[in-house]
Order: sequence, then C-alpha cells, then structure tokens
Amino acid sequence: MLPITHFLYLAFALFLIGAAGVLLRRNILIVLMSIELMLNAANIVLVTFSRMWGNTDGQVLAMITIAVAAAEAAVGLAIVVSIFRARTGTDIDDLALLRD
Amino acid sequence: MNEANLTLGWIPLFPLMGALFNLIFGRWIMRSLGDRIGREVVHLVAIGAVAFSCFYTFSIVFEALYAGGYDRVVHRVWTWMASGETVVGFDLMIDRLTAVMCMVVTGVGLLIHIFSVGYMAKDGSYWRYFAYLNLFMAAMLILVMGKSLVITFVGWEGVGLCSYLLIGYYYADSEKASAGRKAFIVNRIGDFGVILGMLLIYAVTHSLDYDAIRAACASGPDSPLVTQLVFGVPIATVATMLLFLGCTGKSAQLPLYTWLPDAMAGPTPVSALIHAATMVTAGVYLIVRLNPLFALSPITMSTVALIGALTALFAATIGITQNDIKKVLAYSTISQLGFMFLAAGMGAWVAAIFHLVTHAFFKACLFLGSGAVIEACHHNQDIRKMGGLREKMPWTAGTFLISCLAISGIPIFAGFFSKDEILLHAYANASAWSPGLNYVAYGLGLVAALSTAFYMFRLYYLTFEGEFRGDHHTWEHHVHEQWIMSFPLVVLAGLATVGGFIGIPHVLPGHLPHVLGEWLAPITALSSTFGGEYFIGVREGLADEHGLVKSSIELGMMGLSVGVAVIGIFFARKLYAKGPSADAKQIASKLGPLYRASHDKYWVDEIYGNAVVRPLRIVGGICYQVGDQLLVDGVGVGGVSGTVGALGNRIRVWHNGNVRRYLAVLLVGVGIVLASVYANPTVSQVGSSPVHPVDLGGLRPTLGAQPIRIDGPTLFTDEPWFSFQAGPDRVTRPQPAGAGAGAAPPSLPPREPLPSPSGPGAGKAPERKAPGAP
Repeated sequence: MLPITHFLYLAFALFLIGAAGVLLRRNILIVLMSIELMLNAANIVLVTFSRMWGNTDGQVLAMITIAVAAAEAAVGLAIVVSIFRARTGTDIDDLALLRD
Repeated sequence: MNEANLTLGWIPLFPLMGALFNLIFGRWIMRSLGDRIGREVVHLVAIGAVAFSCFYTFSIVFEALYAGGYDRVVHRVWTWMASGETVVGFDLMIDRLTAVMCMVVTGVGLLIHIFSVGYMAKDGSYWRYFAYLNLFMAAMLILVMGKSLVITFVGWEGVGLCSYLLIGYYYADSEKASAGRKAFIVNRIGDFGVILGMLLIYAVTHSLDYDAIRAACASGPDSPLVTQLVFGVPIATVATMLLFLGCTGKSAQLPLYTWLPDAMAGPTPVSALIHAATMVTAGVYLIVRLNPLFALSPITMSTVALIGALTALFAATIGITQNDIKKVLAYSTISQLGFMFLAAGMGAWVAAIFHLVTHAFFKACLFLGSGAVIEACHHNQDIRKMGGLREKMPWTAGTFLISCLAISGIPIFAGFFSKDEILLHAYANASAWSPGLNYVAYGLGLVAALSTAFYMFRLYYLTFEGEFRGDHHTWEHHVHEQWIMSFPLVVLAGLATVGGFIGIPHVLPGHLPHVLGEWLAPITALSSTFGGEYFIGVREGLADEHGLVKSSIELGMMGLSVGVAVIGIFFARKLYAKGPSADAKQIASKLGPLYRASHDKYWVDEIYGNAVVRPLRIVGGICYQVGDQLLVDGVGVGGVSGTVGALGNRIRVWHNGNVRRYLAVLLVGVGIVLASVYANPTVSQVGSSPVHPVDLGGLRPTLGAQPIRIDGPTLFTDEPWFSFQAGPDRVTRPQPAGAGAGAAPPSLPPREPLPSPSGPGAGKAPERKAPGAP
C-alpha cells in the first residue's frame, strides 16, 4: 500500500500552490480559486487520516469543510461583484483601503 | 495603678468634627445663609466643639482624678497597628500632667475662639479660619493626651501642619505664605530628630508606650537605656539629644527658633493660641513627660538648661529694639520658653510646667490685647505710630498692664511665682556641669528677666501711654473696644493675677501648699530616685534638712529677682513714659553696633539663608534640571515614548493596506507556529522509536508535557495502516496512581450480523445479541 506520507505530501503541495496563488496573483478571481485549492488540500488531509484510523470521522469533517468552502465562495464572489460595481479593475493591489 | 476607662476619644474628636464640618460646609453656609447668619453658624459650631472638649476635660479631671482618686484615665480608641506581637493602639490617657496641659489648652483655646469672633469678623474666609483652628485644637489634644510617643507624634505633626495652615492663612500674600512654609520646614528639621530619637528608644524598649519607657528607666543607672551604647554613648543620651532637637524646633529655641518671629504673619489670635499658649509648649511637655529618660542623661539635661538660658537672653536682647508689637511679643515668647527649658534642664519639672501654665495666661492675654490694638489702629502694627490708647481702650490697657506685671515677675501676679522658682532651681539644682552651669544659667536668666521687664514695659508705655502718634482719622474713627474681644482679655488677666497661687513656695509664711508640685508628684517621683551622677535635686551646701533650698538663700533670691524686675520697669518708665524720647535715641546711637545687631536680629536669618538655604536651593536646582528634566523627562519618559514611536513608525510601513502582504505575513506566522509545535510535541515516544523533541530551555516538564505512547500505525512507521476495523482507542496515557485504573477504554459493541437475504417474514429471526456491558 501507499505510505500515508505520499498523500500528505500531495496535500501539502496543493496547499503551497494555493498559498502561492493567493499571494502572487493579482486578479481577485484567481485568488478566490487559490483559496478553494487550499481548502481542498485540507480536505485531502482529513480523508487521509480517516483512512488511516479506519473510521469515518475525517470524512464527515471533510463534508463540513466543503459546505463551508461553498458558502465562503458565494460570499466572496458577492463581495467581488460589489467591488466591480464600484470600480472598474480587478487588481487586488487597488483595494488597499485598510492602510492607516 | 488605679485606672479608669472613660471615652476620652470624644475630646479631640469634637474639634475634629467641627473642623470637618466647617471645611466641607463652611463656604456653602456662608454663601447661602447670608453673611451674618452664616458667620453665626460657623463660629457656633467651632466654639461649641471646643466648649464641649473644655467641659468634658474639666469634668474628667475633677471627677475622676481629683474626687475619684484615680491615677489616670485611659482609653484605646482603636487598635491602629497589629503585626505579630507588636500592637500599637490609638491610646489616649489623662494623667495628672496631661490634666494640667488639657485644661490649659482647652480653656485658653476656648477664650481665643471667642476672641476670634470679633477679630475675624470682617474676614471673607471665616469658615476656613475656624476650621483650621478646630483642627489645631484636635491635634494639640491628641498630642498631650497620647499614651505613647507614637500618638504624641501624630499630634506633633498635626500641630505643625495646622501651624503652617494658619500662619499662611492669608495665602494670597506671598510673604505670609512663605512664612508658613518656613515654619513647617524648620519644624521638620526638628521632627527628624524626634523620629530618630523614637527609633532609638524603640530599639531598646520595643515599645513606645510611656509605661514601657518608664519601666525601662525604672532601674535607674542599670537600665538598658543607659548600659546599651551607640557610637560609644549611652542610648539614653543620644535619644534625648535627638528628641531635644525636635523640641528646639517645635518650641523655638536656638538654633531652630527663626520661624517664630516670621509666624507673626498669621492672624493675631493664631499667634496667641499656637505660638504662645499651646503648640510651642509641646517641646516642654515632651521633656517633662519623658523626665525619667532625660534624668538618665545628665549631659542632655545640662545642654537643655544651657540652651534654654542662652535663648532666654538672646531673644530678650532682640526684643528690646523691635518696633512691631507682635514681633516684640514673639521674641518674648522665645525668651520665656527658654526659661521653661532652663527649668526642665535643671530637673525642676514642676517649675517648667508651672511657668508653662502661667505663661499661657499672660502671653495669651498680651497677644490678644495686641490683636485688639492692631484691629483698633486699622491694622497698623508699628508701635512708633501708637500711643495714648489707654484713653479709648481702658479694658485693653488694664489687662495688658496686668499681664506685663505678671511677665516681669512682680509679686502676687502669676509670673512672679513661676519665674522665681525657675531662677531658684537654676541656681540651686545639681547638674552635670555644676556649679559653673548654675552660675552661668542663673546669670543669664537674671539678665533676661531684667530685659523682659524692660522691653515689656517699653511696649506698654509706647502703646498705651503718651500721645497718639498715628493719623487723626484712625484715632477718631477706628480706635475703640469691642466687648467680645475684651471679655477673654479680662478672664485671662484674672487668671494671670491669681494663677500664681497654685505654686506658692514653702518659704513664705503660712505653710501654704505648693498645689501644683503636690499634684504632679507622681509624675516626677521616679526621676528623683536616681542617685550618683544622675541626682536631681538641690546641690550640696545649699540644701537644708528636708532636701529643699535653705530658706535664707531662697528669700534672698526672691528679693533679687523682684529687684531686677523693678529696675527694668524703672528704666523703661524713665525712657518711654511719654513716648519715644530723645534719651532713648541717644543711648541707641551710643551703643551703635550693639543696637544694630539687636535690631537686625543678629542677622541669624541672613546667616541661615546663605549657609543653608542657598546651597540647598542650588542642589535642588541641579536635581531639577539634571535629574528631573534631563534624566527622567528626557531620557526616561522621552526615551520610552521616542522608542515606541520610532518602532511604531518602522512597523507602520507594513500596514499599507496591501492584502497580499497581509496574507504573506499571516502564512509566515502560521509556519512559525507549526514549526515550533513540531519541534515540541507532547509525544516522547512514538511506536518503538523514541522521538526526542527539541527541549528549548528545559521548559517541557514545567509546561506540563507528559509522555504519551502511541501504539499502532502512525505517521512515522511503515506498517500497513489501511483498515476498516473499528478498534479501541490506540492511545494509552500513564494512569494517575490510585485513580480508577484498569478502566479499559470503551469499546464499540460487537457488530450485529447482517439480516439474511431471505424474504421478509420467512426464515427464523436472526439471533441478536444484546449489547453486553463492557
């Protein structure tokens, strides 16, 4: 069988790719997609451990996180839409209103 | 010891409550009830409080001590400090000595409160004046009624505070305000001595209660206070020297007397109460109260006597040339206090208290009389502009004359008996430096008595006799008497006349008792029992068979002091009977430098100012500019805030609103947290291979890390881990001892067999095992 570490390295790599996307891309929609990618990496970890222990606890939690991700994506997209209505661009660097 | 237990706490409490009432409500009362009624309320509260204390005191003294035959009355108001075995209670006591002091304080205080109604009638802050005056009465009563040095010191500080408040009463005038400060600061120097003295005594006796000190002194020269040394000197000597330093501050002796003449900046009744009758006598009271302790250090006693005599003459010579009526009386007070210390230093405790009492009467009368005069002359205090006031102020003049006779020591008036007794004991008592000290002290005292008679009658003649030398308008419209101010004067003059009869000397025919001496006998008994070099009493060669001074010597000295007084009065009359005369000016110019030295108070204030005050100011300036402004404000406060600001400025660059940067920092932080968790897991043994976590700083056991074993397939092993079997919990933790061990982790119930694929209702029912108890 595959050692468990393979799955965990996969999830870690996906997480890093998602994190890189969040940090390095300037388009808001790409950022949201990268966030989804990170959430999915977490789901993989949960399912992996569920398989390791032999019970379905992790899978249940994975279902919950999928639901949370969906809700969060919906809200995020709603925010993006309202930003678009206020401005014309999608560049994340323009949204620097939190400065002091 | 026959003790009664009555609630003495009321005696200082009533003036204290009066003070609080006037402080809190005074201004509102005067504003809302109008000027006349407001003032009535204020002074009725104040006078009522003091009157209550006065009557209560007198009733306790006469009923408990005199008629009831108790030795003293005590009361513990509350337990102030209790730490282990050391218990300090707020103990008040009235024994025979305190009884005398309390009666004087409350009696004279009451009369002065009544006088103040007239004197301060036009003052705006009437309520503040009476509040402070009541506060002073409370503090003074605590001082004299204290049963231990601690309580006395509370009162000591309290009267110092009230003195400051009342001297600086007209605080808008910066000179008067600084006079108040001067009084407080000079007093403070003395208080430093008192505190050190108290600590030294405590180190030996482990209690500052007067009973404990007395018990420690009871064994005379063998007492621990004498045998234990500090810097090679008996503790009794050092402690009493330090306490005497405090007395010089409070009672205005050399070298700490300079505050008293300046204290005349306060209202005149204040000068009468505080700086004549009561506060300045606190030093004398302290010495007489601690007389066994002082008796055990003859050197201190002789020092006290010498300084007393020197001060008496020193102040008297300054008083001769002063032109401000209150300053003359101030120097007179210093001089008379010198007499009291002379008596105390020679071991004549009764004489010191006697003079304290009589001095309170006639000095208060003199000060109040001068207050009436100042008020009448429209706030003029210069006697060169007075004169002939007897015509329009007969009562004031009469009482002033009686008091002048009393202070000069003319027979039948009070001062004669007390001053004569002091001079007698100055000559006749044994001391550490006899007989030289006796001659010096007596000589100084005699010349001081001569000067006293002279300057007092100079004052009287220039003020009340001759022609009025002020302006006509004042004479016509202002010079008058008020009954409310004359009434206390008459009472005090009466007391100055008859007050001497409580201390009639034995030599006078008629075998009349020395009432005060017999009354105070229990207080002074202990110190007379010490022998050898600590002997207190008449010295060799002058004593008769009873241990008293030979009557021939005593009568001779009596005649001498009366003669001296008469000479002084005669000279004053010759020079001043009709006002400042050319003869007086001639004498003054002939004695040129002496006159100038006396007039300028021997430049003591200037010397102190340059030698002490200026260096202190410079040091203070350095502390302020370098220590406070530069170091604390600049480096300390400024440094801290500057550092915070600089760091903040650096960090605020990070808050540029760029979301991506925020996320990056977030992720870096998460990474750091995870890394540290990985580095310090709570796992110490995983599977068969121990994992040695990184123990940063040896804190893991402290932080509660517990060794945990994880069995079964885990992250770090290669065992097959895929299994759908539900199994028991695979983590075992070390069981706490004695707890319900053996509780196997709960297991899931055994699985039910699946239902057979036969149709519903056919076949036998599957066997179902009920879930058993684990």
